[in-house]
Amino acid sequence: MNREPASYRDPAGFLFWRNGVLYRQVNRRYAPHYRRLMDSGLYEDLSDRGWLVSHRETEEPPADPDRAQCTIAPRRLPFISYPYEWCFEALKDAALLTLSIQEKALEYDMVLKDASAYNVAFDGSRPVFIDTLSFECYEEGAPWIAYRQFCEHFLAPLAMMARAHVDLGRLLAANVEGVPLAAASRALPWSTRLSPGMLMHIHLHARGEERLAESGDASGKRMSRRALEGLVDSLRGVVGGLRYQPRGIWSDYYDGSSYTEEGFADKEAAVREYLGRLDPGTVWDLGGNVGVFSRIAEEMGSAVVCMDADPACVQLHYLENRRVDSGVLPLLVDLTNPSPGLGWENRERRPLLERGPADAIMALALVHHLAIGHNVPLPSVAALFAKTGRDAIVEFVPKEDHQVQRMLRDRADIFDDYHADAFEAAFSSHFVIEERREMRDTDRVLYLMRGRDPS
Amino acid sequence: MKMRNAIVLSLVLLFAVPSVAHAYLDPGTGSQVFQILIAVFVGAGFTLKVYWRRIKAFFRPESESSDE
Repeated sequence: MNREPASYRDPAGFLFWRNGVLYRQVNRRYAPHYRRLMDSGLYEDLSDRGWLVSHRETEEPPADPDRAQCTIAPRRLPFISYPYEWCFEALKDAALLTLSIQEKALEYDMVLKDASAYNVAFDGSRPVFIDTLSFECYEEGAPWIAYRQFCEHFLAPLAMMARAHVDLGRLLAANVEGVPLAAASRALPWSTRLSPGMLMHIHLHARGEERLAESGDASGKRMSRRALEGLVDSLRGVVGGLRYQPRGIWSDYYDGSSYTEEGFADKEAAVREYLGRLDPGTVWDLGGNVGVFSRIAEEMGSAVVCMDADPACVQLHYLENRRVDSGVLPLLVDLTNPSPGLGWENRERRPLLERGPADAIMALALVHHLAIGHNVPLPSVAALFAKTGRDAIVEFVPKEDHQVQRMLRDRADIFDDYHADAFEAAFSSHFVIEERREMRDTDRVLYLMRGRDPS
Repeated sequence: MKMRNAIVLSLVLLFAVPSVAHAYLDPGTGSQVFQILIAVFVGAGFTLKVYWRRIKAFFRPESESSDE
């Protein structure tokens, strides 16, 4: 039995692993709230809508019998991602889902006792609330205990991404408890004070937090149900009004200029064939742009995570997936600096590389970005790929390619070791190269490789 | 309306509350008190919104009424 390291704060219960299955122990002290969740119809309402992760009650013995009420087994999601890996629109959808659940819960006389962004996970492009023990019986007159957390985990980072710069979403990785409101208030442009919602929930809230901490006393003070509904409605208004609009649309974002129409069809057919031969359960599409090839892998039945370092790409991919309800999960990942382990003992939020390896990775038109754009030696690129996936489909873009020539235009060519032979030598120490295929109308080569370590 | 609420509220906060900050206190306290302070405004705003929707729904022909 292993207790999940991220699950230690809440006395209501905790997650644990046994024989590869994830369970959640519900503690006795939480029993009245759990019963209300299950018996009032709230659980059914939320899980039917796909808002709350479904679970089944099991006979599995609890991990801590002295405190246990029961043990439940939640439905497993294929991949757990974190808020600092989501694009703007995904974080916004997670925020709106949290507010919708709070509103729905109130209809059943319950409330969310926390509003952490880590309570939400993505199943493809759909946000799902995963903390079954976040619900508490509503006590008439009580303020919303999760108000500040909602502002720090969702509103402040969203406002900074929308009104300062989209890259500021990465602040969530530096602050696992959310972006402090005082910091957000200082960093946001002055014009955000003209928005009544941001003025109230960020700027005045930050100020109130500081000034009222000692002089104020919340005990005994009441807040009507109508006011609580108004608070959530007001947060919905301000979150809903925030926008980040990358230029371009999904269909014209993909850089097709490196391939002729026939060449691209050829590449697509080759990728399809390679995927068919590998038949991977899980695929990570590294540097996957707007997910053109991720979609092929998904069509062929794999659970796909598409990673790219460009926030605009990831957002366009996410919006398109949401439109067509695709199961591909688009994430913001910089492979030269993948998400580290964060939180208590660096174990609460797992490093990206520990959330793999995938059965197969695809790295199409990526190697030259790492090797030439970031000076990463080819053996290091091969070693990273071997850590992220068992098998690999990798495209090699040689120096003669116009994209590489463009990268080298304004800098000295210090890349004597960047050629196909060195590429094959580097990858051969981790993979067996099963096939190399030259792509039509280009100098590019597509490799199919299988991992050397039997697993 | 929302704007006026916000301005009134900022005046209340800026002038009525002495400035003291002690980091060792539960950092949630200030936020909870703040929430109760703004409760009057957000509650009133929400009530008006709900009634406004009802008025609109009353004058709207049956077929166009939304499922809100």
